[in-house]
Amino acid sequence: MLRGTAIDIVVIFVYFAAILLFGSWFGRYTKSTKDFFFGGQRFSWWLIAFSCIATVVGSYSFIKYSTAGFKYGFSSSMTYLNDWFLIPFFVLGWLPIIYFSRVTSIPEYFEKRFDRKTRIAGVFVLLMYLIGYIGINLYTIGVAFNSMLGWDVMISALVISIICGIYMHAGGQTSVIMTDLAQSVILLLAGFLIFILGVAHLGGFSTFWNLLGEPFKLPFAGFNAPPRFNFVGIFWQDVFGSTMAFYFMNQGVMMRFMSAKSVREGRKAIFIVVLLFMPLTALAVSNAGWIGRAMVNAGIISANINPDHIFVEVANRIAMPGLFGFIMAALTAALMSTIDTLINAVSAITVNDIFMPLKPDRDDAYYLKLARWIAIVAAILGLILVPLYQTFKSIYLAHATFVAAVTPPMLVVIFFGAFWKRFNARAAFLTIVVGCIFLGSSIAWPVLIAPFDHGVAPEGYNYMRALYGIVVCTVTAVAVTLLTHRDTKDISGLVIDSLDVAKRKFKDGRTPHDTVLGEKVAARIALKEIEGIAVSSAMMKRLQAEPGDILYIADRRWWLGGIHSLHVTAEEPHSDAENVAYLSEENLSKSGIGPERQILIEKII
Amino acid sequence: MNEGAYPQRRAPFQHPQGNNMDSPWIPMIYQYGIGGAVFFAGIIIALRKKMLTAAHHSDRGMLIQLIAGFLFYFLLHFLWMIIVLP
Repeated sequence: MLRGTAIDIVVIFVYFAAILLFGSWFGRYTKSTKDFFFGGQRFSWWLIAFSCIATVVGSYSFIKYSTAGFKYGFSSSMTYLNDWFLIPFFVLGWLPIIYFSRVTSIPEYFEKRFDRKTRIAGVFVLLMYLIGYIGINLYTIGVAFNSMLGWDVMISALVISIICGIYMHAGGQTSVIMTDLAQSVILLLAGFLIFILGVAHLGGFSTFWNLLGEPFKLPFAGFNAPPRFNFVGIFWQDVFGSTMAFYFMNQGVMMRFMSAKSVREGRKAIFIVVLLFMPLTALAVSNAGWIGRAMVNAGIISANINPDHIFVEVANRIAMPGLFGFIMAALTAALMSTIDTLINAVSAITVNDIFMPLKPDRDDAYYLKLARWIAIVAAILGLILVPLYQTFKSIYLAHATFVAAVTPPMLVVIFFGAFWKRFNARAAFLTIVVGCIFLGSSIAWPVLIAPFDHGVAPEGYNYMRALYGIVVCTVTAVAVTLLTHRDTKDISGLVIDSLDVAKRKFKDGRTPHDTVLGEKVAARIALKEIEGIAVSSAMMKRLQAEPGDILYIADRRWWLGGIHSLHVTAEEPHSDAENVAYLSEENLSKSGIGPERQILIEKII
Repeated sequence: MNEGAYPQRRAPFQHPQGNNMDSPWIPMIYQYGIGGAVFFAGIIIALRKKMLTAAHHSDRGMLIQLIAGFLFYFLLHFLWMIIVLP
């Protein structure tokens, strides 16, 4: 096993220090809980997109997918290339519902849409899901550091959780998004470097290609075999388990999209994530396994190598001092960028769904302070779980079992909640309870999954559990809904049927104007004590805006990604110079834009 | 280096007899059959609930982007299969 050279150790520690400082620096932009949880709802699509990829790729990804790639071939990319089927539901339904209804957490959505009881159930399940995920990530990075550098698993996990805890304590969502930008670039770059150097090591792409057999190069695994990596199991577990959970249930991802400057920007982000970044990421995280298989076929690596060690082995073969440290930094980047999201999500749920209902009269500064400290506690809880995960035989299976067991009831409730007006509170609560009981039973008695197994052997039931869970929960949800009375509660704005109401609420009761988009207009700021922003009549026409519309003003430097920006309401137009925009000193200060700067204005809604 | 230099080359996995579908196309048909049904159900629901309106320019653009994305992945997998299979 590798132990790394002095240069590698220096690279890793420089990386740790840089991320710690970079993340903590953005604490200056966090002045309220809205900033801490949602980064002030100001970011551009490309920051959201990079941040999503950094969250998708966890510390386990390189090792897990390299192992799968080594054993099963290019089909290890399956899980990254099947997200598109769910995108219409996300971009046309769930995203606008959560964005316009301004819910701060999924349990809060549950209370508004259903009742208090369902919210409590949601809090319990989500905290288990999120804290468990923190533990998995810390454990896998500990294992990676242990095998590659000889560091103790717990010490590695401790160091990383301290770094994440500190910068999350300082900066919240803004730190998450900005550090994720750096980390996603590092981890993608490291993945491509492994591929390029690996192919070069083998003698070129055609040699690499010809060294691999046809079944190895197919994009899909065998339909229902082998049991632990077959197409149908991965399809149901990944598309309707992991992927759906990622976009619809993962509080951290929800908060990421809530931090976009608009729904349109969130849509752009997810299109780029799924159509461009996912295929690139599949290559980045899997290719060490493919290269490893080619090396085995070429006789460079022993055929008896443990597949779990293939990432380390390939990195060892191709990396030079310093580059190996960079690869380790990429593994750490993958971990930190996932953990920071999870920590922020735990903080949001704990503050919004536990402390705010218990202590509703405190001011925002109190909740912000609480959120910062809960970030530290979440990191510690994840750390405590590390020894528990050491008892699992396979990281991949432990992760899959966990996701498959916990997510179906929540997903079915979220899905029906958003897309079926008739779905009521009683059905939601019973779906969670009955779903958890049935899924728990299927772990004790796997035979329950047999009717759904598609011919997969019982060893592969962990993957088929997702289909079983979806069927059980859907039947429960539909049956209870149809057998009980409709809720009389006002749920307008919280289901797809009444999105116009959500938009109207988003605009504080004013009529939304988002069907016709205007131009982005450049303007010069002039200070004036008004509540919103006043621009000239000509500018209003170009923006296609009316007084009362929500406008977005931002520093003209696009590469800031909206960090200096603000949502502000359009006032009656002025009749002064055409390119002047009047704004109060307070709003200018909130936006972070310098008074001498030109701004870009666009209509949001 | 050339292919002939590696006589030990072998397929990395073999499907167990009697517990698998014969054609390598079956997973793709299944994925785009079930996945496609879910995908188009999402679009149909959005159209029925007026989340998408064909009369609006931006909505039409969104619809085209969604379907183009579906075709992108379908063609990606289709061409991948064609290239790999003898």
